[in-house]
Amino acid sequence: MTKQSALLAVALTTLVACSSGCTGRVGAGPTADPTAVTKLREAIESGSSGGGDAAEAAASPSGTGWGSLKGRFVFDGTAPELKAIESARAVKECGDGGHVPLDRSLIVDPQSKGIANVVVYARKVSRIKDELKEPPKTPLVFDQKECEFLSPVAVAQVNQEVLVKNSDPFGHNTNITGTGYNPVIPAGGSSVFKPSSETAMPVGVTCSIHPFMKAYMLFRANPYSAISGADGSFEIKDLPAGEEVELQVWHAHGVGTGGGLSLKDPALTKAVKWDAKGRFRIKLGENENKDLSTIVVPAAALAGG
Amino acid sequence: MKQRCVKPRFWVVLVGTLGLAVGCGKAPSPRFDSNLMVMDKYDISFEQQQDIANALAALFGTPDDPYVPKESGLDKDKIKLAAGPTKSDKAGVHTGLYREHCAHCHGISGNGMGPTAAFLKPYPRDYREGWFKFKSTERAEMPTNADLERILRHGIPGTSMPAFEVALVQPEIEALVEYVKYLSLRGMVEIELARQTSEELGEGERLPTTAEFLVEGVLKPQAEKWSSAETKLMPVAAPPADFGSPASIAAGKSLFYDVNKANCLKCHGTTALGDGVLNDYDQWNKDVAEFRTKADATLASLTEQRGKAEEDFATAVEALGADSALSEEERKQQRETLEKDKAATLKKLGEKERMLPTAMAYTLVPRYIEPRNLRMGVYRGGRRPLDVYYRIHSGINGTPMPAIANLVADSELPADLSEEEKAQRRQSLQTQRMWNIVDYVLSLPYEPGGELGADISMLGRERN
Ligand code: HEC
Ligand code: HEC
Repeated sequence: MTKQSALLAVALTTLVACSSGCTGRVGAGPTADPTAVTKLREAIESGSSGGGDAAEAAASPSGTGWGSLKGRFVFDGTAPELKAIESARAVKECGDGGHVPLDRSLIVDPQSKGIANVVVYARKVSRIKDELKEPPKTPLVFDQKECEFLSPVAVAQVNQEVLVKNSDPFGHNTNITGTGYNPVIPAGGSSVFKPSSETAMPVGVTCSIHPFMKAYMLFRANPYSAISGADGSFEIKDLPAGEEVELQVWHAHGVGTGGGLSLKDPALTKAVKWDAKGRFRIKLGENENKDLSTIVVPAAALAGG
Repeated sequence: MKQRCVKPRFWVVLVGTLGLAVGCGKAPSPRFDSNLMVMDKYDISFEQQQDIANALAALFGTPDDPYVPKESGLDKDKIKLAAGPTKSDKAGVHTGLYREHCAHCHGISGNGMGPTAAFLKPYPRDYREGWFKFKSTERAEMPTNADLERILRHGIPGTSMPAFEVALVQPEIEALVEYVKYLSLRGMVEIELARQTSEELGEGERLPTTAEFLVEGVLKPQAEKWSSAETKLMPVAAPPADFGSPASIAAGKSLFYDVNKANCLKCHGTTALGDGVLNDYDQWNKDVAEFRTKADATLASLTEQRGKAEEDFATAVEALGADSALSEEERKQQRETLEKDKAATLKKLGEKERMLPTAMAYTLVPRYIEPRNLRMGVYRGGRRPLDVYYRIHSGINGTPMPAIANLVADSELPADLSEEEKAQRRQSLQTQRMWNIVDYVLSLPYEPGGELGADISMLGRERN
C-alpha cells in the first residue's frame, strides 16, 4: 500500500511537471480542423465569402399592419412562499431587527397562480410603428429601498434614460453587469444610466456594498417587450403583422440558456414552435389580437439560477 | 479484495503518466485552450465548439504561428517577436518573450492559468474577457498602450505581477503589450462567437463561414474597442491650489467617512484597514463560483435528468395516443418530433458529462476580493496622485470598487444660476472634492496607526 502511494506520488509529480512543461498537451476543447481553417483563412484574406451561409441580413419587411399579442403565465403547483435572504440579516442596516429583505426572484400569486416578472420581447423586427420609433422621453425609474431593488426586472430601450434611485437612508452602489456602470449612490440620491447597446438577455444588477441584492435589466433597440404582472399576464401591442416575428421569453429562474423559459408543452411546440431556449415564432394577422391564453409553466422550467 | 480494487486504477495512472512523459520529451507545440466555462454558459454543443475553434484558428493562428487579419488593428511583427518558443537567432534577435516572461503565470492562452497561478494571490489576470483594472480610460473601456506599458514597466505592487523595466528593452515591452492585446482580443472574439452562436443563430443553424461575418460581424466590433481606447480617456482637471494642505486632507476625510457622500468606509471599513465587505467576489471569481455551483448541480443530477427526459417522452407519447383529433399522419410526425427532442436532450446531457469535469479543472478555486487596506501605502495601480484619482473616479473595473458618487447636493448650488452655470459649478465642485479624497487617501498611511507612522512631513516627499 505504502509502496503504491509512493509510486502514485511519483506518477502525479511527473504528471504535474509534464503538464507545465508542455502546456496544451492535454488541452481543453476541440483542436481546429486544418482543412476548414485554410478555407476560412482564404476567405478572410480575400475578403470575399468562403461558401456556407451568408451573414444574416437584417430581416426585410414582408407584411403590413400591426397586431397585438397577449397571454398569461401560470405556475403548475403550489405557489412558493417568499423567503427572507439569510445573508442579509447579518448586515446591520438591512436586517438587524427590522425588515429583512426577501428573495423576490420568483413571485407567484397564491390565488391566480400567475407568475410575475416573466419578460417577453421580440428578438428582431423588420419594422417598427412610427409612434414607437423614438425611445421614451420619460426615464425608466429603478429604485431601491430597504436593501431590495423595487423592480426584480426592468426593461429599458437603447438610449432611454434609466434613473437609478436610492430611497434608503444609507448608501448603495448599483452595478449593471457588462456595462461598466457601477457608481456609488448616496442616501436619497440618484444617478442616470443611458444604455447604448442592446442585450439579448437580461443582465444582472447587483450592489457591491450589499452583495445579496440582485435584480435584472434588459436593454432593447425595439419597443416590443412586456413584463408579466402579478396575475402573470402580459401584452405587447403593435407588433408587425403579416410576417413571422420571433419572441424570447425569459425568467430569472428559467432553465434555458441565459434564463430562457424552456417549455416542453407539445401544444405550444406545435402552435408557435416554442423551443428549449424559450423562443417562439408567431405570425399575426392585421389588427389581430392574438391571445395565447394560459401558458402553464411547470416548476422544473423554473429550476435555474 | 482491497488489492483488486486498487490495482487497475493504479496501473491506468502509471501507464497514462508514462505515456505523457514520453510525449513530453518530444515537446509538442502548445495550443490555445478553449474557454470551456463560456461554452457551458452558452450551452455550445461539441459541433458548434468545433466551428468556433476553426474560426478562431483562422482569425488568430496558433501560439507558435500567430496570425492577425489587418482589420484587427494589431501589428503582426510585434506579435511575432513575443510569440512562439523562447529562442535567439544568429542576429541576436530574441523571440518567444511571452513564454519566457509571462506564460507561467498568465498561461499560453492568456487565461490566467499558468502552472504557478494557483499559488498566487491575487490570481494572475485572465485577459480573455478584456477587463483591465489600472488604466486611464473610463471604467469599462480598454486600456491604452501607455497604460499597459506602465503596468509592464512598474508591475503591480502588492501582487506577484513583476516589474519588467530592467529586464526588457523598449521594443520588447512594446511587443509584449501587443501580445497581451492579441490574446485579449482573441479571447473576446471567442466569447463573442459563443454568444452569437447561442443568441443569434436559430435551431440547427451553423456559424456562418464568410469573411463578412467573421471579420465585419465579429472581429471588427471587438477590435474597435481596443483601437478606440485613446478616445475614451477619463476627464481629469488639475488638482486645486490647496492640494496637499491640511484643509484639503480634512475635507477628503469627512467625504470618505460620510455615508451620504463618498461612503468609502462601507468597504474599506471605519478604520480604512479594508475590512468592510469581506464576502464579495470580483467579476472573474464570481463567474467561476457561479459556474462551479451550476456544474456541480448538473453533474449530480445527470441520472435524474436522463430519467426525466425518458419520462417526459413517455407521457407525451401517451397523450398523443389518446388525442383522437389527430390523423395518423400527424400522430406519426409529432412522435418523430418528440423522439428528436429526446435524443437532443440526451446528447446535450452526454456532452455536459464529458465537458464539465475538464472545464472545472480549468478554473481555480474562487476567492473573495479584499477591499484594499489603505493604511499600507501600497497602490497597485500606481501611487501618483493622478493614479489614485483615476481609481476613485471610475472605480476599479471588474471589482466591486465603484465609481465615485455625485458628491454635490442640489441645495449647494445657488438657485439663481442658469442650468448651464449650475452644471459647471457642479462639475468643478465634484472635481475638487475628488481631489480632496485623493489627498486623504494618500495621507492615510501617515495617520497615527498607519504603516508608515505619523510622520506627516513625509507627505512632502515626491510621489512619482
Ligand atoms: C509571477 C506571476 C506573474 C508574471 C510572471 C506576470 N504577471 Fe502579469 N499579473 C500577475 C498578477 C497576479 C496580476 C493581477 C494583479 C491584480 O489583479 O491586481 C497580473 C496582471 C497583469 C495585467 C493586468 C493589468 C491591469 O491593469 O489589469 C497585465 C496586462 C499583465 N499582468 C501582463 C503581464 C505580462 C505581459 C507579463 C510578462 C512580461 C506578465 N504579466 C507577467 C502575475 C504575473
Ligand atoms: C463596494 C466596495 C467599495 C467601496 C464602496 C469603495 N471601495 Fe475602494 N476598493 C474596493 C476593493 C474591493 C478594492 C480592491 C480592488 C482590487 O484589488 O483590485 C478597492 C481598492 C481601492 C484602492 C486601491 C487602489 C490601488 O491602486 O491599489 C483605493 C485607493 C480605494 N479603493 C479607495 C476608495 C475610496 C476613496 C472610496 C470611496 C470613494 C472607495 N475606495 C470605495 C472596494 C470598495
